[in-house]
Amino acid sequence: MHLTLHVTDGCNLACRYCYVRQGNQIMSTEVAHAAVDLAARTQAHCGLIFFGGEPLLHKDLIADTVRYAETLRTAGKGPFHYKVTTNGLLLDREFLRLSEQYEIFLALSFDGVRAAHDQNRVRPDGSGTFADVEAAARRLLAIRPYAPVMMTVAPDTVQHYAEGVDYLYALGFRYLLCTLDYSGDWTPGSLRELERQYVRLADWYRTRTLAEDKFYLSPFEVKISSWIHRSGYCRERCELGKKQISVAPDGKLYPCVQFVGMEEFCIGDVFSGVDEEKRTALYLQNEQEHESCRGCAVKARCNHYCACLNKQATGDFRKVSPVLCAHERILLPIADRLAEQLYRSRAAIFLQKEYNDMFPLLSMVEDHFS
Amino acid sequence: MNRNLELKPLRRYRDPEYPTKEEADRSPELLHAVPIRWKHHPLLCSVLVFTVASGLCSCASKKQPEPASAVEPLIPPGEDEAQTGQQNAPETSDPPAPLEIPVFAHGIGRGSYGCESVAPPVFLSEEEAAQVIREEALLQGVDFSGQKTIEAELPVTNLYGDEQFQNSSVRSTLELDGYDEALGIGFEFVSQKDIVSWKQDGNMASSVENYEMKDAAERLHADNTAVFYDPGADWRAFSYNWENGNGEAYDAYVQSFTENQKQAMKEQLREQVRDFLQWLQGQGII
Repeated sequence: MHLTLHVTDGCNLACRYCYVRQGNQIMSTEVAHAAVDLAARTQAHCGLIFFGGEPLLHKDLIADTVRYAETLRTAGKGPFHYKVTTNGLLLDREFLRLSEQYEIFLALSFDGVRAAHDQNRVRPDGSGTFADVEAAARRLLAIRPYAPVMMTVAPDTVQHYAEGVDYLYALGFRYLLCTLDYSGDWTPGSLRELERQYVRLADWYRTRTLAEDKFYLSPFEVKISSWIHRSGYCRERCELGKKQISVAPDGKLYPCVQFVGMEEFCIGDVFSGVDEEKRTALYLQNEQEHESCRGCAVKARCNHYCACLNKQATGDFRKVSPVLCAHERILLPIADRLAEQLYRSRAAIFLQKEYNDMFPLLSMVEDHFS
Repeated sequence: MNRNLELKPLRRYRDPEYPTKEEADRSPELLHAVPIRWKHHPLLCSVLVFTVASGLCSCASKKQPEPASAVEPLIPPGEDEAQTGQQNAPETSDPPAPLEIPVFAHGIGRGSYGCESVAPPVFLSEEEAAQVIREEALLQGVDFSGQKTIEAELPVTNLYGDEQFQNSSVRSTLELDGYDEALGIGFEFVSQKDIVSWKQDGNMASSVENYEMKDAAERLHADNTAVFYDPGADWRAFSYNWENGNGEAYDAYVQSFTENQKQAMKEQLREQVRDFLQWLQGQGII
């Protein structure tokens, strides 16, 4: 189970596609510690994810919370692992040292080339942040070479998608997590461009894989995995409020990040714990088959169960986004063709990555001793 | 969000032609494909050999652990290529002799319709069979995605067991169900549909129609062609309790019986293909 701590709803940026209702709430130390206590009570390995707004606006709170969790760990609770998702502007050497000390996993939001990044990831005065984020990326990768980068593709930046992935790879990122701005104004024209970009990216992926480079490009990995690990993939899908819970700055609990602050979705608080009845009711609602997808041949491989994404795109977590549907129909055949070509070519790194359960260990050994 | 976009459920989507994890687990040699830089890394070689030999990776765990020496030697790429080149070098310039590939028997290969039949007939469609055959062949690097039409000796069939057609055949063209361009080998799946299209009507008539797929497969002769056949359902597994009536309960039972039989038939077909691939290996072709 993971707890996502919304350290604040404030941010130093004003990204044009951001879904967070910005404010000036800040999580108190008391709430943060209670969240850790709640996580510790699960008696299992638990992730503490620091989220926002921009979490690095409150580095001291993050440091304090991690240290508190570590004291619990030494007392036999946990263990915990930590992750921060940041826009990078406040990522300084001191925080990087802290991340090294406590193995805090850092994910950077970065939309690729300047033309795409500066289109949406802007300061409140409208100025772009590309140069500062690029500098932050270099600092991050120097210390955390496996840090993931999180790229958002919007209708007005889709033409830079493939170029952006290539740029981020050249910069040194190997874990590329790409998502669409599903609430954006996607049109048949921009979706056609998206398809062209995925075709280009499939070429890119194939070339890199045949060159035996190691990397993770989420759209293709997820779709290929949905076929290779068919039944396992179904188990990995969104389990609203079961695998991950969001903690609002005031300590209230919500089933996922999109629901924070919406009273009707509150499922408890860090002091009294999870209201199991409410959590289960929401979970069961989300598990019901979506009427709109009944009979779809690829529903087992589709991401339409992501309640958070549906909420973001349609305003209703039970209502599947037509943009998501279009995206899946575009991506799936391209990903399958890519995998078929790599399989037929007997691409060694592809076969090892997809079919060898020991690949993470082998990869780690390689990286560690190279 | 654009209001003109709509949800469009896909009514059909083909199964991809790369194996699932479950299928790949049956072919541990798949993981003998090792990145070149790993081959130069003694520690990685050791870890890889250890994991495969000790069954730590799931594809090895399905079989008895093999000794480390059974794993493909991790040799430098230059030597690897040199060896492969040597093995593939033709010894003479004569054209290779055509291959006569035996039929590998898994499944009774029969089915019948009619009043005496105690179970509803279940057959694999051409598409279902081709999917299984292609998947299994790809695991050994045989790519049957190509097409070819050949001359072949086709069996004459008859649905009523008319003896005059028992050993008859006709020379005709045959569009193969799949062909590997690189190997020059194709396959033909003998389906219920084929039995119908190859049939000749005699004087006999019966209320029972027999489909002899295995027999037809054994009488089909074509060079460089693997012939597989519909394994047929096991009618003995049909044990409906007629006290439940012949309405919805019966329909549900038949549906479940059909699904279970198809699963078993696909597995038997896989066995046919695996035997064929093993035979190809024995011939030194793959």
